[in-house]
Amino acid sequence: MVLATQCILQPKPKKMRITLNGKLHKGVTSKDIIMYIISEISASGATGYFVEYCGSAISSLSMEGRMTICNMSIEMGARGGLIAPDETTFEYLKKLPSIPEIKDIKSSISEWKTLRSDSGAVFDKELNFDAVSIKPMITYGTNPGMGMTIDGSIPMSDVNGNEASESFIKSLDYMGFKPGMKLLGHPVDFVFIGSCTNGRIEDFRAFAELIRGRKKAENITALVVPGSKKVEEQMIAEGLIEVYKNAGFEVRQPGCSSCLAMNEDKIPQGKYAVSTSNRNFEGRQGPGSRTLLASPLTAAAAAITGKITDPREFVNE
Amino acid sequence: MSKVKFDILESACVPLPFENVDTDQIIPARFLSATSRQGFGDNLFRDWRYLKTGEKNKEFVLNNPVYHGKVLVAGKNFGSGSSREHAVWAIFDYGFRAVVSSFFADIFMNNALNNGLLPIVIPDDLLKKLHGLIQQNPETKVRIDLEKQIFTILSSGESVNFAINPYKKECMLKGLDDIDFLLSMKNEITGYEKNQSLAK
Repeated sequence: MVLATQCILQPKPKKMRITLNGKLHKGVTSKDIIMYIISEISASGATGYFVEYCGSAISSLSMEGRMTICNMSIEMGARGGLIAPDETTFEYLKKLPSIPEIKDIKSSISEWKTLRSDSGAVFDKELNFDAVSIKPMITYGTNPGMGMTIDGSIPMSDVNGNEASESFIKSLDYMGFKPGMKLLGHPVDFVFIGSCTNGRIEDFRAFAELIRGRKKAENITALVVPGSKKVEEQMIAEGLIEVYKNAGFEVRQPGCSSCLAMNEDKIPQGKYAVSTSNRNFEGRQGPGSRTLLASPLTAAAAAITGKITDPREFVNE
Repeated sequence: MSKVKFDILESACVPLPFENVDTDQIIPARFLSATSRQGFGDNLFRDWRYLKTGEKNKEFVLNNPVYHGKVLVAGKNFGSGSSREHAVWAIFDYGFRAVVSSFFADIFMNNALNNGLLPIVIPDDLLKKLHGLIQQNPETKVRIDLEKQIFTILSSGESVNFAINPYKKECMLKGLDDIDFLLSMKNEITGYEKNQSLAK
């Protein structure tokens, strides 16, 4: 469509605004924010909507932190996720190679400042969350909405309270889990850090910080995959590749890699992978693979201990 | 590009009563690097149709000869996850012409409408009832009238109206798609681009 017409045809979507105020705890990241929201409203909770995120917890995020949230909005069915541009945005843009080509950056910025919702804007749905109540998250099932806090227990029933839901039972069976089970301490086999959701330089810096001076657990294979060639170059320049290699991690070619396992970076049948990607469907990372979605910090913690671990144990040191 | 017209369809049903069936199940990622739209039907629900040994999974509905037809009766939130249009191509190439559910993922629904596969939304209780009827009698037939937007279970006579975006309905009835529509507005599009003020 785009090649033929220069357009994307969109029916006017419904509008959802999600406001998140308060301060995130240490060890809790923007990935945990979006995973928390999806677990609250389900994988189809925003179907038919474009979602705007706002509030102090959102505006205090870096651009890359914001991108993680917007990127994963589709996993709750949203057609798109938006965050209004502000000074953080403009500072980020000024560093991009294409920006110097703009003749009058000041007037562009003035124009960009108008790209926000009016103060009296009416949304079809409004949700409010408190950042303080968000903890590191992990998924236990086979869609991104089946998530819980890292120290939580798998629910006894599906989102509708249906214990006997065929889909719920099938999902847990696939994962080798039971209702009511805790996941903290569960051994894992693979850790994957990468994907469009968490494959940016800040994600790799955070991961490197946690594992610096440590070695990966013997029972796991850890794949580190830059989101792009540019990120890979930055990782090399910042000495991060050395940190990973010293810890025993494999650094793979930039790309989608294990997120959807179209290349050799597959998770084998029945194996558990803590993954910083965005989809934990059956067979997503390879036929029979068992994906546990998490933030880069949670993935890093699992890589060191070899089991599902609360990253706050490392972060508060 | 669509060129497939949809009018009236009467058919037996193939039931898939699972919720949240995502497009990774409909067409696993390893099949997406094909360069032709043909043959995707062979890989429809591949990892549910076949066991790890390569043998057919006799438990899976597509391998059960008792079920046949051009209508797939699914569960809630069908087509969630990845936007891969290949999911629709696989369902269509296999032979289905309509999918019935109480709720479709947004992008899947649009992909379906753009490719001659009709997504029909019926109330959840009617969907459950239909699954029950199909289980009792695999020859349960339905009638889909796109022009009148009526869905009928022929064995019970129950009828319900289904919603469809009027523009998409016209496209499906006439075998047109979004590209045909947009190309008819070429002058307006060019005019709009000329007036864009950003990045001058």
